[in-house]
Amino acid sequence: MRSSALLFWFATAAALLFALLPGPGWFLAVKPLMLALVLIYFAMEQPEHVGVGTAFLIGLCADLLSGALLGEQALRCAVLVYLVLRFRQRLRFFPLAQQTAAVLALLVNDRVIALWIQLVAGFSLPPTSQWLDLASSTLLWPWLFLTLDRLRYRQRSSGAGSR
Amino acid sequence: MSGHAAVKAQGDAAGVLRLVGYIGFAVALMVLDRRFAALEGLRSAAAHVAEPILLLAELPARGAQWLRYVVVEREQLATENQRLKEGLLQSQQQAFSMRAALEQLQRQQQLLEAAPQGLTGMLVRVIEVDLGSSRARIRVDRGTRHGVRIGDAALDAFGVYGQVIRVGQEQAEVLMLSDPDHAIPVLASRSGLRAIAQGGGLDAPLRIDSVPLTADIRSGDALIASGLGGRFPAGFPVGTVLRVSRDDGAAFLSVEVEPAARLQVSRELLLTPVPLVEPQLMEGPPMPTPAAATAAPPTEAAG
Repeated sequence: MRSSALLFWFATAAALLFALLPGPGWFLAVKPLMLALVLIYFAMEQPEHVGVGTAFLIGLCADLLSGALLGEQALRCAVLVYLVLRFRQRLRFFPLAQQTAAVLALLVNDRVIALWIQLVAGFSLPPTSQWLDLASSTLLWPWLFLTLDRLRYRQRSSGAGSR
Repeated sequence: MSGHAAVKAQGDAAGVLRLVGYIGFAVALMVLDRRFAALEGLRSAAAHVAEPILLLAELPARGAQWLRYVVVEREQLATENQRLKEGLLQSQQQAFSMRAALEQLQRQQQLLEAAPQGLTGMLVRVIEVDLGSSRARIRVDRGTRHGVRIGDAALDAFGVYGQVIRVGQEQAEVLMLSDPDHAIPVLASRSGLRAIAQGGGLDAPLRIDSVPLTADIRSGDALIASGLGGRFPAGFPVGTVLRVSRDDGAAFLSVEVEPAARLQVSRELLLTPVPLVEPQLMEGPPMPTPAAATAAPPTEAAG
């Protein structure tokens, strides 16, 4: 139980740092939305660690780190995790391909919320190339899912049967 | 069975209610942040934690930079060195003329027994992190502890870069010229035309709207900061006019401006304190500032 919480917080911290990672323009354009993917995974597999409130606070941390509009990512993370928890039973038992499509739908919804917030806040909308990161995130999902699954099972088998 | 469903529905309702609560909270935060800038206290408290994390996130980029310096060919470095030296020479020339103007200003201030001001710039390094693309912003590695203030002008070796919009203890945030929320008063050095250049978005040229059709402006004109408003140092290059277009039926010209500063490339900036050159030193009609006029009689002597 404790070690699985550790994995969640470690993955979240890594995702927050990953979002800040600089690079050439093409890299920034295709940089996957790691934080959203990590939240989706843990809300789906270990809802005892990540609730809507936790997601809100994590999003708030991301807002404070990037210095962007305070509350934007908090709202997006809360909605994302709410949707995953709501449809958790179905998402978990989808085959991986279908699950990946569902993740894409979640990310598109997330992006629509983000654009809507930016529009209302009076910021200029980002260029159309912004949608490339959704494609890369979706492509990354199966790998991330399997990697985190493996890490979790390894932990469980070495975790002296705490669960 | 139906009881179970009822319990589940109740749980759903509570979940929706909680979500709505969080959304309301987030919207309140956003409104407070955007409309009233009321959360700077929270931000500066969080900055103590955030600043080291940003430096940590920058580590891979700095490692790559170091690697590039180790691996990159000599020749490339030599040409880059040459280019930088030329840039330095140019900026030194500018610096000398600036210094002359500053010394004059300081003498005048001494004459007027005004409080002496720190009129030197501060060299800062850009922290290479991705702050998201909603605005054209960067972070630099100096903050209040080093004397950075909101409104300080940021310059690179080639021209005006932007201005400081937020300051933490150890770091500050600079809004780039190209941000749509950024505007700078400019002067066309050939014709003396005054205008306001607005950001057009990341990687896009600056825009000048509402230039009269009869105005004397054409592509290739150099634009410099006019110094009006006292925020940007007068005479610093802002950009060159890329294109002047006249839409059918439009009452104004629309002008596109290529920024002089290398917004995406420059990694070292100069921050200069806010009132570098007072507006009254500029030609033209006096600014209507009744408060300043009553509070500070020396303004008359300065003109």
